[in-house]
Amino acid sequence: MTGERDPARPPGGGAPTGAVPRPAAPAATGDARRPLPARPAGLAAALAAEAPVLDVRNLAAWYFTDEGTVKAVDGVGFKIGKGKTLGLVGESGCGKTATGLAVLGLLPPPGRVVRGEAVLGRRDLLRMPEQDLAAMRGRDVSMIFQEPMSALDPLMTTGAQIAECLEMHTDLDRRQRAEKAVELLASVGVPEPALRAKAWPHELSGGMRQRVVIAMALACDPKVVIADEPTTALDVTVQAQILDLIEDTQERTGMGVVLVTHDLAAVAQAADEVAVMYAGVLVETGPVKDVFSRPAHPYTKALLGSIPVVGQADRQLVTIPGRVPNLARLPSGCRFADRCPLAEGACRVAEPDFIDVGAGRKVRCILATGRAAR
Amino acid sequence: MSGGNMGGMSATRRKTGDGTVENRRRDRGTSPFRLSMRRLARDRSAMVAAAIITAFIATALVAGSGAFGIKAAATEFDENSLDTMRYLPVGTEGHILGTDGFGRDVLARSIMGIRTALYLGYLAGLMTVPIALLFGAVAGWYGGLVDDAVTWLMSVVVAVPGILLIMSLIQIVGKSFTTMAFAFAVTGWVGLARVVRGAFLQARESEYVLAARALGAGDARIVFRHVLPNVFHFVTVNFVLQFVGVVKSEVFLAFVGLTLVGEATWGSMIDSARSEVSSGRWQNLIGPTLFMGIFLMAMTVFGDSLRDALDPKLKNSEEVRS
Amino acid sequence: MLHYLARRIVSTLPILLGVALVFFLVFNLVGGSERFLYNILPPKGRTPETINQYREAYGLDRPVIVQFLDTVGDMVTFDFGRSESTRQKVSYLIARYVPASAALAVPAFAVEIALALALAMLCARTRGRWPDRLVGVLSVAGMSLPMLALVIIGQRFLAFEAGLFPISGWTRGLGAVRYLALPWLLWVTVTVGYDVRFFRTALVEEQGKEYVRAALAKGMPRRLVMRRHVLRNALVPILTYVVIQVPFLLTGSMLLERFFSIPGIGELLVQAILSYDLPVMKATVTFYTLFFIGFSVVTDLLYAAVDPRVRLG
Repeated sequence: MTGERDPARPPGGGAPTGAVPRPAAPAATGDARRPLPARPAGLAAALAAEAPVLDVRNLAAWYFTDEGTVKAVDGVGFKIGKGKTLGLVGESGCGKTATGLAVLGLLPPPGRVVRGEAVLGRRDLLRMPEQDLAAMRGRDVSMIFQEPMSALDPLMTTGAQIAECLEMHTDLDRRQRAEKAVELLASVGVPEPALRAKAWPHELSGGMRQRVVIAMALACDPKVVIADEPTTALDVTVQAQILDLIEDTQERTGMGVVLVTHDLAAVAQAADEVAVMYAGVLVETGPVKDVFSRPAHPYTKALLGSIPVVGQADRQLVTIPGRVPNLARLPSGCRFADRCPLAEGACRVAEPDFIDVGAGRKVRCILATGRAAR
Repeated sequence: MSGGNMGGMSATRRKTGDGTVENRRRDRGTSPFRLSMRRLARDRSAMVAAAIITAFIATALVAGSGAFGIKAAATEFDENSLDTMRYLPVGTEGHILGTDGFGRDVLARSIMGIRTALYLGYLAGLMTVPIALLFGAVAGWYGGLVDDAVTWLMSVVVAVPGILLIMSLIQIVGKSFTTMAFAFAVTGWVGLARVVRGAFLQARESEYVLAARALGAGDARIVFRHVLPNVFHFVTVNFVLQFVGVVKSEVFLAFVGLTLVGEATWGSMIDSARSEVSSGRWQNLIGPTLFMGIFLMAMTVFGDSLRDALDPKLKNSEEVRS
Repeated sequence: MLHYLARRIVSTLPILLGVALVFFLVFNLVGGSERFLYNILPPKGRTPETINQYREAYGLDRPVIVQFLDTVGDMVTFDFGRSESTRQKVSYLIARYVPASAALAVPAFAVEIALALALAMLCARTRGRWPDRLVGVLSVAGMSLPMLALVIIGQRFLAFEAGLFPISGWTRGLGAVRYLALPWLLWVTVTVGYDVRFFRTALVEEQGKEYVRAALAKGMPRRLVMRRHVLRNALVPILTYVVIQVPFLLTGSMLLERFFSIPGIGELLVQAILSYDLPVMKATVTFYTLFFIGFSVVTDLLYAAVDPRVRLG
């Protein structure tokens, strides 16, 4: 296992995805009815050549409940380059967390991965025996959890919980592991780390706990970290610190990060690329700056419209009417059609394809991509 | 989307529209109780258990009315010819489960045993629930000294081994099913009362009760509309569990000679089998054990399903996250 | 810790007082004392004079409150006088009958809990698959069958027919193991079903917690996570459950002791109740109550040992 570790890492830093030259933006992105020019060729190839650390393709994870099959994740794909951050955004209940859990093989029953691949270091995480996958968890891919309190075992000291990861993946002895745990706590900005390592989770503040959770996830320098709403449970002031911490670590170790969140501000601050998820599918992906400045999908627009922007006090706050459709009984057309202010007849006939519109962007909307594309 | 723009749509579209409307109705318009019952009806093992329980109850009622001579076969015997030769083994024609030392049909007695079990279990539950509700509600709602007193009482009742109190009460007050049921109630109310107390404590401080108060709702209205419905499922599940416990305890009471001797109870039958088995007579063991086993198994399965249906959180503690 | 123990001991006093009150209500007010007087006299001797004589001798003619305080006094000093049926000192009887009861109940209870935990862990690990289902069905079946019937069947087949165990009996010293083996086996068989079901629920509940997922995300194998995280956290509800089970130890020991002629405290108690032996009843009830309270104190100490959030005092 250790042998194939380094070869698996892509050589060199690779050009940042955000810096890929892109064509001039279409003039009228504000009007979703005007199709963006479709440009499926060249750029996709350029992106693929960059050898992502994690390549998720066509992932579907369903919950087989008594009430029916809940298609929480229904064909999601994304790539993360070395040292890059992908923001996976969407409302709660759209399948973001399930995507993250599925990649790690930690979907709780009755959830199951039904198709797709998650390639990390030339190996598909989704088709790996549990034992091999366990050996990769923590070392190659790990996860930062949403609720720092519940992600920590209340009956174990924080240091011991961090050391467990080292116990699994390194040859360090007990004392060395304890020392390394203190170092890790120090590296995530925990003051008096030696003291904190002996503390129980309930003795720490929320921000401190989240730092411990991060130290736990980063203990073995994973290549990819899935950060599941790492800041949601925290105070606003602590949120920015935590995001900075993740970014700093990323610069140091070159890990790829999937930032799962519903907080668009966090994505704007920390992510290079963004993938917008709605009702189990991606509806729009692309470089953060492009997507946020010129959203193509009506859902992305609505999301962006629903956060207040300082200095634009007069701008009306847009709320999205209705709610996420029941994932056990999806409509036959576009999943967003029922809430979409622009929906028309054709939207309800068939689910739109996820079309490459150039500049590293993809959109799932017939209005944005043009009917001609179909 | 509203139905207004559905006119003149293709079949596919209308289907979608209908589906959405139906979704909303399902999600919003149904009371939690009806949703629970729907979940229960979908649970196959619960339905099988319910069918078995219904069959048992129906059989007991029919037999108790004297129909088919079951009651007579279970109780009547010829006093003039009392001898052990009246034992007929299992499988005898006309007495499929054999007869006991008095020549009474074991199948008929096992069936009459359902009646006893139902009567005892039901009566005990009927006495327990009001005690538990009263103490739990009073303690939780008024708090303070009242709560202290009730809490003390509960810890006392828990500290005295229940079975001792039951045995003593039956021994002193006299053997009757009412006494037995009362004894079970007196010793068995604490668990439920604690839950009820918790619910009332919580309700007293909760915002929806404050809101209801602010809108001018009286205590009675708050209790009946907002608090009692929340403990309803604990009451139901507790009833089923206690039922199982009472029926099993009756066998123990029979063993120490504290059940009603003349009556057809499963306990007294199994107890008499104790001495009969050594002479190879199994009928008094097989009959009631079979009946009790099936009946209590159905009750337990039904109780489990009922709990899961009323409180799905308990079943899928690994909530579906996405 | 010492402070906590002292407080706990003080806090048992009101409970003991309550137990005395319950006991007093049942025996002196509901009519137990009259039955008791009636019963201790031979049929010929039941004249009003002799009954009055005995009533005075037992202090049952004094004011109710005095009688009550008397009962409390008995319980606090653990001095209950002599048994009505054997004329032996009650404290002597208790001391003589306790060892057999302990020899039956302690190992059986320990094995029961350990086996139930092992089975529950198996169930939690194979959740929804056949081992889980099989254990589940067997548990429900075990819970639903009458204990007495299982004991009869067990004695008949394992002791009488197969000759694996003596049918019943008792001897002092280590030889008692021979007589205890079958009761132990039956005890565990009869009780383990309840425990498995509860423990499984507790484990499955813990398994769904986020920290379990976090532990798995560190790369720990599932078995290790189960042992190190899930089991330890589930211990808190499991301990609570074990305390609740303590009164059922009594039912079990009464049934098995009586059935297999083991001279234990359960058997002593059944005899006392059936013969209205008031002093012995008082003593055994007090003994069990103290045992129960003592057990809860030990459990509280265990909580504190398991869970750093629990602070005694």
